[in-house]
Amino acid sequence: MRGPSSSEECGLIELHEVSVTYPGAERPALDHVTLSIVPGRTLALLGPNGSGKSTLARLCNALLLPTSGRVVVDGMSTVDEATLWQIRARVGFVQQNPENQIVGTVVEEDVAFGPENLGVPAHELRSRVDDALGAVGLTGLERREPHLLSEGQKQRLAIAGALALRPAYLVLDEPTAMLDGEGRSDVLAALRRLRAHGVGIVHITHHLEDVIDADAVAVLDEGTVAFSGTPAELLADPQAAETLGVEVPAIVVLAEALREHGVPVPRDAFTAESVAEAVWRS
Amino acid sequence: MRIPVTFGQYVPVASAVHALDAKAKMGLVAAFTTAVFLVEGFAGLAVMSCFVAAAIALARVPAMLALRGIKALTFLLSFTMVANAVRWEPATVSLVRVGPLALDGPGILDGVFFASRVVLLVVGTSLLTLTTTPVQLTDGLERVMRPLRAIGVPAGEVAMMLTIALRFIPTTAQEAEKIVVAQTARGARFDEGGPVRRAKAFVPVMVPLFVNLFRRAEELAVAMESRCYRGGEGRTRLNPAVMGAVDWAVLVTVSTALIAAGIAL
Amino acid sequence: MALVAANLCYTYAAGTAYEVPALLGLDVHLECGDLLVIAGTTGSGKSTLLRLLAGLLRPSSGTVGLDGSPASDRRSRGRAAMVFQNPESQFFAESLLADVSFGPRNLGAQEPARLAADALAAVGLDPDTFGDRSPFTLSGGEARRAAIAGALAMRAPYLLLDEPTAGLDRRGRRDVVLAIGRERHRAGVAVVTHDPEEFLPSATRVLALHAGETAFAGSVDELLANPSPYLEAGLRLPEVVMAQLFARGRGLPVGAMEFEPEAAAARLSHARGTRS
Repeated sequence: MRGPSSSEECGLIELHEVSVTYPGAERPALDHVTLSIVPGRTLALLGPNGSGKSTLARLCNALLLPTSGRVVVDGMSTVDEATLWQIRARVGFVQQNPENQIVGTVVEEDVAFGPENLGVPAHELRSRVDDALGAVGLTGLERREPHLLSEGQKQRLAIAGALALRPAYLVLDEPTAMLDGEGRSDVLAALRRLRAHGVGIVHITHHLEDVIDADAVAVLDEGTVAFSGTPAELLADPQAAETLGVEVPAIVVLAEALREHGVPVPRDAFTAESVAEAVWRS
Repeated sequence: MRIPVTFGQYVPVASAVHALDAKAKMGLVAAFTTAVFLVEGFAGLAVMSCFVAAAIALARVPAMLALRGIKALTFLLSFTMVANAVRWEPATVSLVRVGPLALDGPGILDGVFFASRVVLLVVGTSLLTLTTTPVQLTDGLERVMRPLRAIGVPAGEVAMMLTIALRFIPTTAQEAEKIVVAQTARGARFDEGGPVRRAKAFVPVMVPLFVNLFRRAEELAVAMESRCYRGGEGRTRLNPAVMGAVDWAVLVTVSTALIAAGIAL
Repeated sequence: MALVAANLCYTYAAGTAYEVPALLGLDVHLECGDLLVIAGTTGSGKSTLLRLLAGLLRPSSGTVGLDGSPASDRRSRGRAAMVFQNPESQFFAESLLADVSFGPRNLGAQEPARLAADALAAVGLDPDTFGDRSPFTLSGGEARRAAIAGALAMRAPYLLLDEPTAGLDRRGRRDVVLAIGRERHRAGVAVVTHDPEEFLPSATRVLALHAGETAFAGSVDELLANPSPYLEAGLRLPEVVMAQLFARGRGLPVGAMEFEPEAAAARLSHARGTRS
């Protein structure tokens, strides 16, 4: 998997004072949001339904344009029609239901769909398809029909379809919501590998567990950024996080309760094993 | 639980006919159809039958599958037979006569001739769908339709539409099955009462099916736009179906032979 | 009076090249007041089992009996209500009341509208507020509960649910678990899930499947006393329970397991104080 094809090493997606008001809506879906998304890092976006997460996701690749404010991708504004397709190629977008994102009748042809649209020559298509399938661990299923894949495989196929455009960023709107334990951990592992290869990731989710190792977390509440920091900072005050609509993992509540009982559990203990270890060692 | 859903009629075996490019096969079907209409006597039909039989053997497709299409046409065939065989007050000697309607020898022969022609056409063209995947067919169709772009036919878009439709047939079938089972579990009955009641029984299946399809369509549109789809213009293909020398040679020689036979016989 | 399955086997596409054995000799017992959790990963056969119990599939061998009659028998029609995955994608009527009363109407019930209203109330949706609303305008959690009401309205003595909390946020999951729990006073409830976290605290029995066979069957206490077969079937226990299991593995005298974080913390800190 090759990294972003961009020559700008320090590119980023910048949302500056962005507001979106849908036609006929009483209040804005997003209200003066400022955020940046950095290559090689994961930004987790949390927040209850209707907090503006999906709206934010659609701003990043110009599926939606801001009512006011600016969205700039590696120096290109999303309102500029001339660079629209460059932005779309640079910012991959993956939705919740994998079934509804798969266009091709066999796996490899679906992965090739994006670069085919850009007119990438046939010999390069092949290497892009192979790279993208390798990156999500689907090598060997090139000729499989999509409806014969498991849900987890389908979602990884959807991710491969975005990767074939060689994006610098990947925006995922609840990519694990429809998956079971195994499918979910496969998708999360693929995302971690991509981050290591320099892809900037925006991961929208209800499950804090899925993004506990994110580099940054933003919690949206009624269209504004209610929290911005690291996962550890967010969980330093579980009650405050809960009032923002974040589903604090039970293990974090356990660790907090143990600390109240005088057991010195470290703040970065987010697994059952590390919490038990702390109890045993103390 | 997944059970392989096969749709269309494609028979997945390796054969010379399968390997032939879809566009060449479409060209051959066109040539064959022309030849069958050119043929004027039973000798010509015999030659065409031999061609079809040879093609079926070469395609390694079970003959029963190739002939299956005829069953659906029983009514049309009977009609063709009768319409040609029965004459209105013929001057010749008749075998049977009911009022002004009569059956005679040449009439029956005509009936057999025209019915045989329909049978040949059906079996010949069904070889195309039996040996070509739907994807190859749509790709071929796009290429064949490309000249029509000059008069404003969006060939690329039509092919993309067909591809997506094919892609979602198994998904939609699975979903329909799921909804039928779910509504059955709520006591719905699809096999009771008269035709009206039966049709009404499908409302609780069709409504959710369509609601879900529209939602799918919306998400699919977003996915396609995100992946830079902007119409058929300038697209490249991962697996471009290219007419090779063999495809051209087969297309040209076999078409010529068919048409020549059609004119001669 | 019980739903009893004995030595249940099922093979998909039996007699064809695609033959896939899905279930190999399962036993199930469900009666009023029960909450049976059927846990398994994708492909373990759990959804097939549920369809067999509902009489929607016929077993290849073995029997499913509802109060003494075969599940696929006409006499059993409507006696086991089934809720499929994402049941809200099966809404079809213009009003919620009409949709929920579909089941009782099909079964020829006396007062389908009243049964539907009762069912909506049972899942915490006020029939006066929600009854006339279009089912397509509900939030995720509301839609799921409304769809479950569609099964409750059939007043079946056995209620079978496939992944009833999948895809919901925490609040939605809690509401569904509460609504299902309330039905136990009049029905035997079986829940199929790959992640039984929310159902374990109130479950009466757990059946864990692995590749169509029973990996574990027993009470929740028995499961927590010996969780290995369950975990080896690829299933997860709540993280709070796992922490206590790890601590016990380390030699701390944890004793009985707690599901609530606060109670678990008290137990763990107590165990830490009493170790020798």
